[in-house]
Amino acid sequence: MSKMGKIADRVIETDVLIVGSEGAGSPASLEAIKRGVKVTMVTKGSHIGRSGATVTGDADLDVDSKSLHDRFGLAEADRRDSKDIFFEDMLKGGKYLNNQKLVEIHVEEAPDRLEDLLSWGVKIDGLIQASGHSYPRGVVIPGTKLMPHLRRVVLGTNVELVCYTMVTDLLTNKDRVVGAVGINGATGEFIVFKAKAVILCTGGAMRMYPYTTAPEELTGDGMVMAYRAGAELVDMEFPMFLPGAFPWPPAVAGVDIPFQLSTGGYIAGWMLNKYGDRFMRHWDPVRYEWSTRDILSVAMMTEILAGRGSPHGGVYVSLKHLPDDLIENLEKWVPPEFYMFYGGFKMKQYLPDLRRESIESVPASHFFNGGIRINERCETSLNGLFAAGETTGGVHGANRLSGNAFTEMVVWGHRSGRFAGEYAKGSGEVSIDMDQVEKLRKRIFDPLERKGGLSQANLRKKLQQVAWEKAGVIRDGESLEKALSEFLKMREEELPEVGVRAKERIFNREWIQVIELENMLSMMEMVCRTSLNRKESRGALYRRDYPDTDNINWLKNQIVIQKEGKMEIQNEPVVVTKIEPPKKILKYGRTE
Amino acid sequence: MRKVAEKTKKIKVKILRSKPWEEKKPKYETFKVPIEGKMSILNVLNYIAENLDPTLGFYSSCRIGKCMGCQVVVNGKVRLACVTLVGGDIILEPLRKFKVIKDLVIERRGKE
Repeated sequence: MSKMGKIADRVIETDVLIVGSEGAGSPASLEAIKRGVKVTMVTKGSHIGRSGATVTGDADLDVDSKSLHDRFGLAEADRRDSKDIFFEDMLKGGKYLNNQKLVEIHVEEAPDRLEDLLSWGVKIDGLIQASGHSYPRGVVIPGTKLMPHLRRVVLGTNVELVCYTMVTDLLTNKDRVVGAVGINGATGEFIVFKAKAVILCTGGAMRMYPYTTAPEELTGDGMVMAYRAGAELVDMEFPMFLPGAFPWPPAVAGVDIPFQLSTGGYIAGWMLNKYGDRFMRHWDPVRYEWSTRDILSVAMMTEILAGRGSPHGGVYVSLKHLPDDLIENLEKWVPPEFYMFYGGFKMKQYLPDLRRESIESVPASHFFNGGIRINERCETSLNGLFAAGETTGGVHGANRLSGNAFTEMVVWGHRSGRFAGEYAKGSGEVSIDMDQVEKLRKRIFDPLERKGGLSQANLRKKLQQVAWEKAGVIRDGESLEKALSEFLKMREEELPEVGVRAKERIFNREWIQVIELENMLSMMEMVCRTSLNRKESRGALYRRDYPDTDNINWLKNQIVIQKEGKMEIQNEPVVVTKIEPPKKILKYGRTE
Repeated sequence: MRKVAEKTKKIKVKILRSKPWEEKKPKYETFKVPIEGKMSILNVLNYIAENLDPTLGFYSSCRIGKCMGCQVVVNGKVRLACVTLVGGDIILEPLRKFKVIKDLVIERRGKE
């Protein structure tokens, strides 16, 4: 038996390996396979459209309104818009940290990608203008309607699909990435993937926080495996929060409260602390609950951390200032799908009598702005490694506009498939370093073979609590220092003691969760270190000790890279092509 | 005043367990789970996996009724575990007509 045969249960040889099967991965696979190469797509989920954030998106896809009017014939679209204005709005939203080279491509190619979706049978459900957009650009295409089309189109090609499989690490040889390893939950096999190019489309890392709108598997796997392999990451200090999820009861913890009732909707309830103070008056005395999502989240968390919150760790949202008959008449004019249903939930089961009682509301982790650093061709700093979608950084800068996650996944998913496909086509054979495979296998199997040990669930909860209180919506130097030392201690001292109680290799949730936990701890180290360095507040980073946006010293991106086992951070000036950022110190949350 | 600590009651959760690779017949196993506040079937499954039996196999992802990945048979009817609230005792089985990988986990591919 060869050495490979002894170590790997299965070897899959391919040209382009895509990790992640959803809004970025599926378009990537379709573009790559057009280059006449073999394409293998791997998902942690049970099938395409059965996991990941895309299917949870409610959601709109941003395209400049002029193109929507002229090219797609949407009557509600506004011809006064342009790609340049869309570009400018993205920079304002991203607080000028966006890589402008990427933003140019993003606004340019968005209409073409919408065209692709329509050609696959996707229908447009409407058009909205979300905050931060100068014109209506949000083409409504819910993820639940998008993914069945992508599934059908991908299954109609020769793309090889591997489900229930968590890719854990990348394989490198000399100066390039040559594949990956992972565990197949359905068979229990340890799989070695040999590939000429790898594309990471693995999404964000929202599960580091106890309240999140994101699905369970988003634990930063792609970002951390790229980091471990030596790739550069960027803008890691910008995990983004939404101002309104249920903290309780368990069935809906982390689920969005219909925003039509809480913030920025037809009816925005008053947000109150436990003293009944409508605390938004301190933050935005003009717009109150209609303020921007970042300011609302910071205001809520200020109350929560000061002990002025509600019993289950949120704040109160009250409609009681409105007369009973007004509340009773809501359902006559607010479409019920906007506030009585969310996903599969019937909100009546969870909302109190709004004439009398409040809703408890908490900010929730929603998106990860930063990630693996890419160039215009989706190339990372490692040869043979490409990335697309939420797992990358640079497109959104310090904060993302509403609707731009879907645009990001299709525009960049498409590009990554194209360039990785071309790269693989021009590449010679690659060879795998078996010693590396053996080491990785040992690392992955250690917790499974360990007897006894600490509970992964408890350590995960501890991580989430520290992340929430010290490295989340509100941060400062002291809280970040503490959080960092706690995370390092968890990773160095407690994680090596965590055992998997279930010993079967087939569909062992706990085993996968332990591997995810290591990724989450590394993610938090990146969040803490980059947040500590950045001595200002900007976009999705609010530092209580440096509350202003410092455009004199901090128009910089922080690049995270592993060197000799240590995390290093380098600063680089932002990439500017068209718009010079402002040069002033501004109050947090203000652009001009 | 609104009560925060709602009274805890225990329910019986009977689950059809399978380990097809051992070629043994599926059999039911019953767990007692405390219910605090409004809990979904997914909350119950997570409670069992964390506290009673880490080998329990079930699949979940979005936990808001969108990915449909957590579909199971609840008291004879197909339901989404994440958005179905638990009232009293329940019987959980994997979806019919699919190949079972383990307990409530099924092979989705080839059927859609």
